[in-house]
Amino acid sequence: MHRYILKRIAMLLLVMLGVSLLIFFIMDLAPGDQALMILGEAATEEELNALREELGLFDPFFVRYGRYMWGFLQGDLGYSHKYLSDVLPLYLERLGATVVLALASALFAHILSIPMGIYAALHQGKVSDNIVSALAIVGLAAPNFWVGLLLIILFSLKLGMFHSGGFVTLSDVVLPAITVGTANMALLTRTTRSGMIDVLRSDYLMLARAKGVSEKMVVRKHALKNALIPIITVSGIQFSAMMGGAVTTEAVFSFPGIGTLLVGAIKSKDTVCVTGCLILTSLLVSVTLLAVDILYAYVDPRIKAQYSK
Amino acid sequence: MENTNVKTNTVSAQKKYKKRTPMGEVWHRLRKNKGAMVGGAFVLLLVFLALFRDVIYDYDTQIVMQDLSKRFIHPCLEHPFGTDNLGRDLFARVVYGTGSSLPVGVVAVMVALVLGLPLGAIAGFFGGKIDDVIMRIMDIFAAVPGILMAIAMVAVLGTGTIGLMISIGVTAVPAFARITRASVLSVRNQEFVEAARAIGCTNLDIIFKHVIPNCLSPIVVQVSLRIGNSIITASSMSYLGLGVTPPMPEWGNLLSAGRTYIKDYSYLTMFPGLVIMLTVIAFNLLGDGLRDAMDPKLKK
Repeated sequence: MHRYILKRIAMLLLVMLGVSLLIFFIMDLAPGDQALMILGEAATEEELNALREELGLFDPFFVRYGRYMWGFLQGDLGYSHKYLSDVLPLYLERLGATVVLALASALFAHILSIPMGIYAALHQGKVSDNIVSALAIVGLAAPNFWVGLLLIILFSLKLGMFHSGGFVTLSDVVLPAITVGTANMALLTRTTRSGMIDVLRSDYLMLARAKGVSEKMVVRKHALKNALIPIITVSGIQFSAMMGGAVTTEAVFSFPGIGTLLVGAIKSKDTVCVTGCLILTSLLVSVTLLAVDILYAYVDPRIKAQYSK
Repeated sequence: MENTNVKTNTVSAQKKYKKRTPMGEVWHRLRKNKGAMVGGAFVLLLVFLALFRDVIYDYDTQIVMQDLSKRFIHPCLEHPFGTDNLGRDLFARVVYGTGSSLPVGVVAVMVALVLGLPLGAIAGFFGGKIDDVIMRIMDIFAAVPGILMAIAMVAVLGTGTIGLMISIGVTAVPAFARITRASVLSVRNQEFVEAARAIGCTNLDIIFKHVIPNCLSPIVVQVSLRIGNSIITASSMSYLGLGVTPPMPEWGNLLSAGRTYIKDYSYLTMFPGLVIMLTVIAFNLLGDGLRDAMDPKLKK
């Protein structure tokens, strides 16, 4: 097991090295002149060239990449001229809001989807099952920025229950969380339903029933535990994806997370900030995914047995 | 070549069971699936609107021309979706916008397919070092969250339809490579591949003429499901101002334009979003139907 974890971590580091190179390369091609950003439009060509020389912008690609990564490993991700701050503290500051949003939307998605999925599985083929399935289809197809706008119309403009944007009090996270959570909830409902249906057909449940275990206990103790495995996989993937910030949802609610940070930086051609944000986000998403994978092996003895071979 | 006995046998069999080609069989099963048929019909309608948008509407007078005397008319018979802040008919702009949103979704998936399919097929077919190298590169692309990758690429390629298509397409390459690889792995050791090698086909011939045609069903399904997703991503990017830019209508930028007037004229945000949702549902229903029709074993 430990060897497996070490192998996965080594692989992750290798992939991240590739990711940093890829992102650095893409952003190197992107328009955006650091010297121009620092000195402003009024600077003369000589001044600009002098600064470019000083910043080492004329060095070959791999020299610049090496220098960037050397700084990165020491926690220096450069300075953002759009936000007038070092990139790392800026990122960490926004990360808080993104994590709160991710947790809140995961909470919303799970509270609703798991009972709905179980209910649908137990009433397979009936009207209630069809309604749940139809809701899941709609939830998966609704673009989340539209869901966000509809929520704003209903809850903040018509009912006046929540603010339509910003992140001042904790209640401001409710609407964005529902927005991000809708599609996740739909997918989780589907996963729960099909997972439960698979388990309900299995032989060991028939055995449990034959022994005289009540149907309630069969569902709660025997079926749900095993149906949880695909659910954990899906929620792990969803949670790791949310660590990357919900770009469109954050834009709709002007939510100060990583998504809005990145979009702002892209629009003002702040390549230093974009590069740092993208590498950190990819790292965070990959690490979360790996953590879930490892956790998952601990939860399910069958998977653990596979890896320790 | 054919034995006459065999021939008569087939004829008698044909009388009992209608013999169908593999595609005919898929179509027969698909036709029974109501959801897939409704989805497919809606997709056809969208394709029609996208292709003939310039026949249906005149861009200069009906799509972008401003008429301030008609601004903010609520939905009515003459303007089913109402009019916007510049007095333009929203229904016409949504219909015309089909021609911006649909091609982006379709071409993005084609880009992903053209890159991902050969990469996945080569990785799966040859295995070993080649497989490792290709799939690790795919891992790198997959490690950057999709929409963030698309945003970064748009910064290089520039906003606009072409940049959008390529950016969104590239983010879906790893998914196609993985699916193709998995399905190539499942057929590469079968007899017909060995037979092709025995009669002297080159590796390239085997991959493209024998292996890939036998792996198509999961890929076709993925294409249909991915188009819906790509349309959402494309409209998200346009909503953020990183995609198709006004005055050319696109579903995402129509939503973004409606956002400003959300307080008093919420219908401006209602309809474009509804159309995106219906489109994605249509592609998903079609994709689910294709999956059930092509691989009945998977059907639950």
